[in-house]
Amino acid sequence: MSTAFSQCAQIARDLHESLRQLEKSVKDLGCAPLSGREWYELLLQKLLPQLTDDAFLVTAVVGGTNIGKSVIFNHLAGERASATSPLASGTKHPVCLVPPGFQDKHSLSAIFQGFVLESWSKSEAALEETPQDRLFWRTSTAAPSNLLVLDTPDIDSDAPINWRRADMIRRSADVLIAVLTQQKYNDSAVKQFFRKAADEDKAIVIVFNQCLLPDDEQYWPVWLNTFCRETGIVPEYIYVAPNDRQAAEQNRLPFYERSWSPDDSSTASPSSTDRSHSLLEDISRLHFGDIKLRTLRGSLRQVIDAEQGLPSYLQELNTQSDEFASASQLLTAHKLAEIDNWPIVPNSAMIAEIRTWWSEQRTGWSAKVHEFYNSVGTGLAWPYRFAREKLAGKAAPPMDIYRNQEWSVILETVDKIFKQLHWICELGHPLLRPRLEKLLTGTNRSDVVHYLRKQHETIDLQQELHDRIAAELKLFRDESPDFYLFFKRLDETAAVARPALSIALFVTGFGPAGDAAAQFLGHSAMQSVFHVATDVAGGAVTAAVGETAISSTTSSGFGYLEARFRGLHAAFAAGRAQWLAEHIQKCLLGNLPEELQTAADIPKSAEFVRVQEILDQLNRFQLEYAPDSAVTADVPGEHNES
Amino acid sequence: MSNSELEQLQLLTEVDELIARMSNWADQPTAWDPQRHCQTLIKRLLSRVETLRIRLEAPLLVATFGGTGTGKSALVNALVGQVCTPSGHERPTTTQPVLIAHPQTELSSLNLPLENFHIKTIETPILRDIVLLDCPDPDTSEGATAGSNLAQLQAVLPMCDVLIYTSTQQKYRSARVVDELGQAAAGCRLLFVQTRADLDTDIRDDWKKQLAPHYEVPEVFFVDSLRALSEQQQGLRPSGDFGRLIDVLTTQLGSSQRIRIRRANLIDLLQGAVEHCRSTLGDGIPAVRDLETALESQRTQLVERMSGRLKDELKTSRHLWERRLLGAVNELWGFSPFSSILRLYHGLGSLIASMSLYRARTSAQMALLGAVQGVRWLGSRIKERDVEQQLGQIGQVGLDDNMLQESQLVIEGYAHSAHMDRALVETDSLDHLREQAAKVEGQFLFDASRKIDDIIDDLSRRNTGWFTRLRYEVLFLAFVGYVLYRVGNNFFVVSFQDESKILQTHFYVNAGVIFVIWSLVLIILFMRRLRRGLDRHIETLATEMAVSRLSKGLFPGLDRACVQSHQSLDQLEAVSMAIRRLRDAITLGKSLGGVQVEPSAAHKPAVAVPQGNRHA
Repeated sequence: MSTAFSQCAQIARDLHESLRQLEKSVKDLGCAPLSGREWYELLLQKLLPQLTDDAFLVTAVVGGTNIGKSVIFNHLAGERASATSPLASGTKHPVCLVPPGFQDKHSLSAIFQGFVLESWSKSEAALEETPQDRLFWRTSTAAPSNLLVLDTPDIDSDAPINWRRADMIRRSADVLIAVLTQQKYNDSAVKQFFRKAADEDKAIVIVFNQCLLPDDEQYWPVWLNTFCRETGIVPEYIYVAPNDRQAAEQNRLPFYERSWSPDDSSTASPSSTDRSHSLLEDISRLHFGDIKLRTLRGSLRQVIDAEQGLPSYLQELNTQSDEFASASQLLTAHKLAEIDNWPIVPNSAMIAEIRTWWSEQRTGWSAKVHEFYNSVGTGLAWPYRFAREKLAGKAAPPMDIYRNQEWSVILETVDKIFKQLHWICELGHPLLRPRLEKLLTGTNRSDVVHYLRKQHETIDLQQELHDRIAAELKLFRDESPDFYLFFKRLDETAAVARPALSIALFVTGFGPAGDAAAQFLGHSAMQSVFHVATDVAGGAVTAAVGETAISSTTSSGFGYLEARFRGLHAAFAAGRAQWLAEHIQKCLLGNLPEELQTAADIPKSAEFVRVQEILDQLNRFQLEYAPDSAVTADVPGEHNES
Repeated sequence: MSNSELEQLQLLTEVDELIARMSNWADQPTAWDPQRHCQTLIKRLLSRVETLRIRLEAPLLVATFGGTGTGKSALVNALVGQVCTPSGHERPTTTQPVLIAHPQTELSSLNLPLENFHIKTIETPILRDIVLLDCPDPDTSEGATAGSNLAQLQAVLPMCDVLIYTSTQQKYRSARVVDELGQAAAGCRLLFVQTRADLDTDIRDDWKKQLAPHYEVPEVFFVDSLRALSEQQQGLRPSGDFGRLIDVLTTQLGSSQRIRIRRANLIDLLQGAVEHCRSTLGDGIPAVRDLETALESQRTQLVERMSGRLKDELKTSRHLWERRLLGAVNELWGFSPFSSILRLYHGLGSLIASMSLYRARTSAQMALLGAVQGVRWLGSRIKERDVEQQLGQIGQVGLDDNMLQESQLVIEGYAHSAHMDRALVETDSLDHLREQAAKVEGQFLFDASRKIDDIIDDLSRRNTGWFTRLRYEVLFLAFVGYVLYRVGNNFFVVSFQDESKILQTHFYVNAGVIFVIWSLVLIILFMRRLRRGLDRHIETLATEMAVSRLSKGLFPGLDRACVQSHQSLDQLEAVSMAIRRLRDAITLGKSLGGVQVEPSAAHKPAVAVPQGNRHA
């Protein structure tokens, strides 16, 4: 059996460790933290500290406020160890009686995790209101050497911190002394508390306090029936204590034992044994080992309970990460913006750039001749240009005009993206919404605009154009026999239709717009979150250029070259749109898409799988050592009779 | 009519006025979402208030409220002097509300769902003015499931006028009951009773301390219901606190007090709602302020841009300046030889001006041409623009499409955060925005041209002082005089002596040419003088314009909405003040407690929000 204990203890420790890992990795999911979950607290407060071979029992007096818990505790202690008061919600911190020598074998702080331990100095200390969870302990010879007895704060007053502390003690406890009264035995808060205790299979001792004897003798079985039916508790012992304030103050309240069986409520066994019992003695007669095993098993059952335990937490993570997956899908399923009016570089600038490139290709004598002609040409043209500038004002350089046009389109695109994001936000996805709201604020918008403007103003468009054309023409030269014709016809090219672009968001690789874009974008671009699709081969372009221009020439002639020239424009535009997409992603969405994706992948993460494995282990363990299997009471910490 | 009756009527009128004010507030059109939300809330409340008003004259409905086993039924039995609602040892005892009324009480006037109650009629003096309702407990049910005690209680409580809140030493701090009271007490008078005086210790002081933050607790009764019942049954008047409780019920809840109590309850309800709305709107106001700041900075940016552009253009439009200045000078100079020359020069210029009016290519030049002509011209220009959608023009004072797009983008975000109606920004599409921009520009230019007029006036006045005039006249006339002297002398003196010495045509031609040159030199000198300081003036003009405030920005709808949201909050504050004043004016029996609505708690919920059920 002790191997089973240590095996289980090892699994519990593993579970705790891997849960901590898991919690770290799921902090973005927005689930409630582990601490505060009943099953996790049980693991922490019951299983981890108490899965040892040396069995001891934790007994706690619990119940509603102002019904005499501390009075009963003092009776257990045999002295005024906990202060009593006629006012409600008095006891704020638990008080624990520790047998001498107990701390040599056990560490109290390990047993009562979450409490700051303080050695008992005076009974009033437990009444003091502090935000810190304290536990006052005092050595007492009243109890047997392996029994801890505690007084607890209430479970139903308007001070929720008291409930929390009582819950913490409840989880550690093996035996609960449930103090009930005529007024409170059926209160919802009381029932809920004890239902949990029943689920954890605690041994329960019921004390009906403040009874008006002998009148209430006929009522307590009814109360008990209701209480046991509502909570599922089967009490070990039942006592009735009279409403005798004076006796209570003097620590000499009698406890009359009563027997009762759930099936038949009328068997009140009145006054037959009106001998006052010592609660402590009766408790000491319990089978410690059995109870220990029973409560540990009960707690373990709660931890792996499909509805409320660890599986429900894993399920919650699953559901939540599904939400993230759906958010991610929602965000990527919608094209963020479609741009059909990306400006085209003025033909003059494009052609000038092509000529520059061409002249760079010339070598030797031919280059010199052209250089000479070019200088002459420039010289001759100077007076004309000078005169024109004087008359018509200095013409803006074509790339500046282009830059300006591009900026309008960028603004328009950003506007569209914001509108689209707003629309997605309005869909009200619980995860996306708060994140998108943050992106859609005025301050963020103006930041985005400023960022883009700064980026846009600093980029050297001329250089961009130069590089793009160099790359495209090199390709062209390598594959085309009509290369030279192209330059001859360059000036004849008509207005160029604008390429249609769309910016879509793809978190994972290729998407529907991939094919159209593939010819312009390298593989690396496809990996990017943003995606630019260009469509130049479509009918719109043909229509704009003019059917006649294409059909009237041979396919290898003007039409082909025209298409080539358009290709240059489209390539440049696509490159620019890609630039825009990258920057918008950087300044607007940041790592939101990746964040969503990571969260969506949590159930596949190693931490998650590890916890799942340990859960399976626990389930197997639970089956193996089920109560009905051979394992029973041969546990150390024997039958205890003092 | 007696004074007190008059007072009563006065009070009623004031409450009616208050309700009218609130319903007015709730009907205001608004573009601000939080306000719309609050308006709906207040409308709902007002419709509930209407049903309360129907019962004004009916007896007060007095209900018991408290945890199970705190002796609600025992108290009711003791009050009426006989056992009419079972009081017992099993929890819960009462599972259906028990209504106890005097046989003569017209129950239908209470407007209650009587089929849900046990109804008992008992002829006892205490029931003459009130109807008692013994309610189920709020603390045995773990949720308000249908038919549960909690559900029944929650259905009944909003109809009650007075609650008798019973508690015991064990239960006075029970969280479940305290939470439920927080919900139930709004719009009710409260009487606090500690029962079981026979068994329990007196904890009234501690209880009062616990209640004090949220409730007005004038008095807590400490009663022993069982003894009171037996005393009643023996025909004795109950002693101690129970006797006083009966007194309070008969005197302070009497028929004369009904209207007051119901009014007070109603006002409490209104106050609760108004405080809630105030805090909702108060929470929303910072975002509106942000929006206002954004709009304001947008306007500043707009003005800066326009004035910068204006300055540049004014500096380059020399010819137009000259013409305007000359025109002004001519008017001031009066008739004189030199001024005739100036006038001639200006006249020639005007010949071209009549055409250049159409040639004024930029808005700034146009502003120079003068306010009156300019505005007319601008008007036609805008119309033309609307028709042709030829909007490139607005770029001339710096408001280009990019800027408009940018401001729309940013303002939309702010408007969204401020929860302004989306329609306000969305209808401001770019076209709409362009129109707005044209208006803004027109307004700006109108101001600018006024200032330009001032500059011209100032410059021309400064350069037509008598000394200046004299100098130029003398210089001009010196030449004319010299030529005249030469001609006169020649004609009258020299030619008499020697006829051949008479001046030839070439002299006159020369004189004419030199006259023209001399005139031109003087005009140029004068023009230089006129233009002196012009640049400085333009600078000042631009700075002045830059700090001037546009009365209308690009988003007048949003501007209006912001102002309105502030106004609505102010109105609500005023209503809240009025409610508080009125509440103070209604004097009630001094044993009746109620929910505290602290004025300081304007931005907090009036009653502590119950923290749900922890075990749920």
